[in-house]
Amino acid sequence: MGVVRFFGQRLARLAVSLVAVSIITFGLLQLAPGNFADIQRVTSGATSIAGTGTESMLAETQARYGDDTPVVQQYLTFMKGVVTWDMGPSYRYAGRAVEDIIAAAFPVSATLAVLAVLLALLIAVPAGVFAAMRQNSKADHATMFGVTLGHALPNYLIAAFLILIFTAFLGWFPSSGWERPEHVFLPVVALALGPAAVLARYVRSSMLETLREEYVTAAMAKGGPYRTVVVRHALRNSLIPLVTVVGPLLAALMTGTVFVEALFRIPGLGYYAATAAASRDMPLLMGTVLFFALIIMVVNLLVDLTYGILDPRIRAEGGWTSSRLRKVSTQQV
Amino acid sequence: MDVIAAAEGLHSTGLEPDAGAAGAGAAGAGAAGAGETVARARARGPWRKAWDRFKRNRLALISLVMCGVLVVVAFAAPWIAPHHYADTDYEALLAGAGADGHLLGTDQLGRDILSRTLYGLRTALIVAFGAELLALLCALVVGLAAGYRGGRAEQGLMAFTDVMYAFPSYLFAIVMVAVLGRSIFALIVAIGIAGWVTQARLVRAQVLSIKQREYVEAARAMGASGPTIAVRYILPNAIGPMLVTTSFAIPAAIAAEAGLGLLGLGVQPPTPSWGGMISEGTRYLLSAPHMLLAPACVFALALLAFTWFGDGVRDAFDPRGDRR
Amino acid sequence: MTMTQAPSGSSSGTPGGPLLRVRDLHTEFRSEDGAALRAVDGVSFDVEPGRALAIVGESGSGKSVSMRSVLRLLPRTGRVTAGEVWFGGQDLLRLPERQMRRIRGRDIGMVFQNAMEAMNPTLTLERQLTEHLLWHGVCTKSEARERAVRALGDVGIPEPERRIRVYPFQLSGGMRQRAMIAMAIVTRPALLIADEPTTAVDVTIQRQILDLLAGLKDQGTGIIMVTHDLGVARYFCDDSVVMYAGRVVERAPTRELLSRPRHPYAAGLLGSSVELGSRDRPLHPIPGNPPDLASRPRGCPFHPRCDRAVLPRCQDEQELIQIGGARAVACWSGGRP
Repeated sequence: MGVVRFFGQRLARLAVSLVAVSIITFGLLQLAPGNFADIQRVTSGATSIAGTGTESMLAETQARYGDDTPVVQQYLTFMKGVVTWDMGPSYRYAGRAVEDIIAAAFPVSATLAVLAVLLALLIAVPAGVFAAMRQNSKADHATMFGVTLGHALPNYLIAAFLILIFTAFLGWFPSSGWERPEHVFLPVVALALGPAAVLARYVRSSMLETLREEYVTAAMAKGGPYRTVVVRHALRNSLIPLVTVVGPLLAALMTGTVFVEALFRIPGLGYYAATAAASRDMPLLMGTVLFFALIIMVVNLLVDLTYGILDPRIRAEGGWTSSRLRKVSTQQV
Repeated sequence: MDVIAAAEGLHSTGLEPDAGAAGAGAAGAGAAGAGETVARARARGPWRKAWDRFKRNRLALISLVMCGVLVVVAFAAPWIAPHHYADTDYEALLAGAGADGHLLGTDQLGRDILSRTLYGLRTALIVAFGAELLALLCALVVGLAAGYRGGRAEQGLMAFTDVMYAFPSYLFAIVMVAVLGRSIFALIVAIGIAGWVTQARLVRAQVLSIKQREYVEAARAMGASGPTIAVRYILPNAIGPMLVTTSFAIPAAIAAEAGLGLLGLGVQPPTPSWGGMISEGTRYLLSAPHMLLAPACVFALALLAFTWFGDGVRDAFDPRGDRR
Repeated sequence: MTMTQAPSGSSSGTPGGPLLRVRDLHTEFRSEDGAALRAVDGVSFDVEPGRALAIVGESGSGKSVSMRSVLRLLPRTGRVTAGEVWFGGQDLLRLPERQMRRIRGRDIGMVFQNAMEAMNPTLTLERQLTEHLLWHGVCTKSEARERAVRALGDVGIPEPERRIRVYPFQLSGGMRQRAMIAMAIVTRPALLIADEPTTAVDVTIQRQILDLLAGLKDQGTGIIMVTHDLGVARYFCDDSVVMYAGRVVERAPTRELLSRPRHPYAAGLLGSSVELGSRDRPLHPIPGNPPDLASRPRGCPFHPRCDRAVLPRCQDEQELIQIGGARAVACWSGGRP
């Protein structure tokens, strides 16, 4: 299958999935008592001071999703807003349009996620290689125990312990906010440790597999020092498949930011999605959920493409079949 | 067979992967008998073997005991807890650990942290077990139907799972809670529905592989009806792998409950949830770190116990696979 | 144990003694449940410079493991438990790893069964042919490249200047195999261990590879040829050692072994060989399978499959018995039917 056709198919599937997600979300939200506008009228007064000064906004919402508008019409209106990047006002945040909130929040979440992936790689690759080189040693067991912890504990719990240690007891880092550079440290570490555990385990097993390859023995038979052989012959070959894990991990991290952002009160996408859900700000919730889904799907698509480019064998065969790629990438998540 | 093996071994261009002792294993595998004995060995053998392996795994046994203790404590929380979770003690606001009558201190409303942590465990386990039970039921019904009958049930499941894969499960749970409101029931449904499709696919795959085995074909040849085969032959074999995935899903569900609580989407206050307690704890971090420490520690303990228990179950059913 | 007589008499006359002298080598593997499996059980042999020794046996007979024990390249679970490996006046088994490393690749080269697996798919031939020259400090980088090109030419690869820049998977199977030999000989080692170098290639290429190795032998390189194929042994090996279940069961000059095998197992091997069996009589495959390492029969490991077995004599340990000049056989009958 050609690259273009592959890409086209994937794009089409992405669009279909997005529409499906939007229908599910919208449909579910219709099940909630009251419609968009009604809910807002009830809750906006109760949850925030937004109620008073935003009569015009309510009117606008009323026009968009009013009582007399049929459900399908409401959905289409909303989707039109998504496509034209004009989703109307948020209720929870008076005076701010949904698209503006998303535009402001996305870079924050993306920064968090990308930094966390980088940190995770920085921790995981050396740890995994180290553990593999000393398989079954105490150092290996200790690394693997750390991996179990990182794997079992969700990022907000790790964050809680980090806050206890670094804020409450040591007083080194602030526990909330997103203005100064020192605000970045704890949330990024909290986000990175879980993925680092997943990656380290992956690097270790991939490395162990590569170390069993005959060409590693052959390099040793040529008199290579163990470390040189590991770095030159094994490391590179065992890291190529890592690309497939990093993508889904980045996607998982994006959703994981929801909790870390809530805990550290960081104004990212997840934070707004959560507050939107809690205060039933339906347009904002729809907008953030769709945007999240879009990012995750795009990341997965990019990963599949990257993998095809990186592996010369896939390139040579022209084997850009999605089933094969899916098989590869689902194995590791 | 031996003749062929020997001849191959010596053929001048034959491939010979020289790796330790080969041969003997291959000969043994071919000798396995057919028919009913195999079927019975497969139906009962795995359980006993799994239990034997589980018993030998010390970490798994310890975590099994810990999980048992946690379940008992959660069940008995009303009798064990020194206070009711909503009782306020205005004499002791934000009291530290070891304060009079409050072993682990109190929160900003003077509520006993120990009691709230214990009740939080109760909330977490009710939601987690409820959600997984729901997920398991859905998965078994739909997965069996899809795997055994194929056709529309199968197509529907596959299409639905494809969509759900595109929908991050946390976001889905968030939307569900936004729709259903904040209650234990809402949490069970939200977390259960977010998780069942993966399991349903697993059941389907399991069914498809078992369906091909000889003893099922034999039963069908002897005229057993579809549902009979599904319940008598396929279900018992699918239960093992299901148990593995479910025991992995339990700690995930516990974490999901706390996560939603953290976002302010958990159970309605004042019912305690670990997530809510952690969220409150960060607010009084400097004056009362015990508010964060106590629930975080018990939470971590519970997660590790259930995770290690899940690891043990997996290793017991699938000793070689996935150890990494 | 089996190490009784030194086999050096077989090819005496070479001044300075044998190039490699292996004595009573024992190697064990630890299985998953912790049991020790004896893969090599008291193996001894010599290799003279300018001569080739064939180590013949079925898969699992311990021949490859013996070679990896000599180079101390066993997998993590394997361990040499006893024995001596004398090379260049040193016992390799007692050498510090750092010095051992200097011998690997520089003084002892190794050729593997399958170049597809033994060459790194992501490095060019140049990298793989020169890196050990640099590790051992044999020459400078530009000289190393020159030597690598020359080595490629020596093994009969056309246009070596161009080919040195390609990746292994861009070569044909036969060329890849020759490139791997070039990789082993670019340092001009005194001893070359070839582990089934012709098994993975087809017959025409097999011939070229063997001729190439024979040429090296003529230039004075000592060669150990690990093979399950008596035809290969006949083609250019001066001496042969037959291994079964981790032990040497017969040692003889190749020609004598092929014309008159003494050990029942060696006779069986010959009788079941398509190429070498006499044409008048049908093939006689050896009945049964080689023993599992975990459940080795008592005494002679071959006796359960042996058509000449006499109990209980065969349940005693069978030492290698010298039978005339250069021959030895591990059978109480001395191999006389």
